[in-house]
Amino acid sequence: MWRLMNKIMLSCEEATALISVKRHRKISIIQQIQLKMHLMVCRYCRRFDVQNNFIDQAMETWFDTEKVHPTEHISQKQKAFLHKVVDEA
Amino acid sequence: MSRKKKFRCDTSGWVEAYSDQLFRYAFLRINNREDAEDLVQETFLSGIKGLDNFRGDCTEKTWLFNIINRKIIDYYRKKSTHASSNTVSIEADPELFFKMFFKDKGALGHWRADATPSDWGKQADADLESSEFMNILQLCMSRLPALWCSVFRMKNLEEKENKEICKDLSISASNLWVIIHRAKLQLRGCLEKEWIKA
Repeated sequence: MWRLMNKIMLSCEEATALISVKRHRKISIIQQIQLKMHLMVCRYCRRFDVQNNFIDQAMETWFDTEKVHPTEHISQKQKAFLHKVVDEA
Repeated sequence: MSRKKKFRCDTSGWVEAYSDQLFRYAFLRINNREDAEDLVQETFLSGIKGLDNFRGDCTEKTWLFNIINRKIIDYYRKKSTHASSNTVSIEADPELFFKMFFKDKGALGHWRADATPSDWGKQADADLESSEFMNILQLCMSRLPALWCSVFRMKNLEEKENKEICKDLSISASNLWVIIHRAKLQLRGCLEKEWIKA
């Protein structure tokens, strides 16, 4: 019985692997069930699940150029250098 | 001929018109100021050299962005081959990486006591766009290996399909999933340390 449980139940390493990628690819029905079962009994992976969503969201915001980096500029020094390079080319 | 001439004259305005835009575009994707500046420079040079091939069937802006896009992909590639030949310890042994987070299979592969996710509680409702949080996220992103970072850039910025990412970075699909898994574990740990518990 214990062995059978071990076969069906995912380890936390396996569970977090599925949680990390489930937004990026389809996971099988069996994996979905296994993950649900794991999440029922493991509060750390439940936390990981919530925080994983948070990280995905944070990264989306981060990559939204104009929102986050409206003020990034090339340095004046490099700009002056570019002028020279382009003029000479 | 006259058209070609016209473009030649226009190059003098490129730096003022496009250097900031191109820089921002590259910087956001490679997260390295100096390298981004170099890419902008190379883009202008390639642009000038290739003027004869520019037929004006797209705007010069689109054309320059096409050039820098190709250069960014080359940059990712260089980084990914560099990472596999000149390995950091965690890159060398993936098993070792996971051992920082999980116990052995014998112990059912549970979280290690010193790596368990703690409850982030209310703090995770914080404003994602606040500069304080963004600075911490930037710090944690910069601690990821360049290849892992480029995966997220390609996903979020370029909205590339998984297949395309694998092709551009010359990695297999299962490599891609492992990279995402590792990056998430490491990012989560870093955010908890630098943000929640700081």
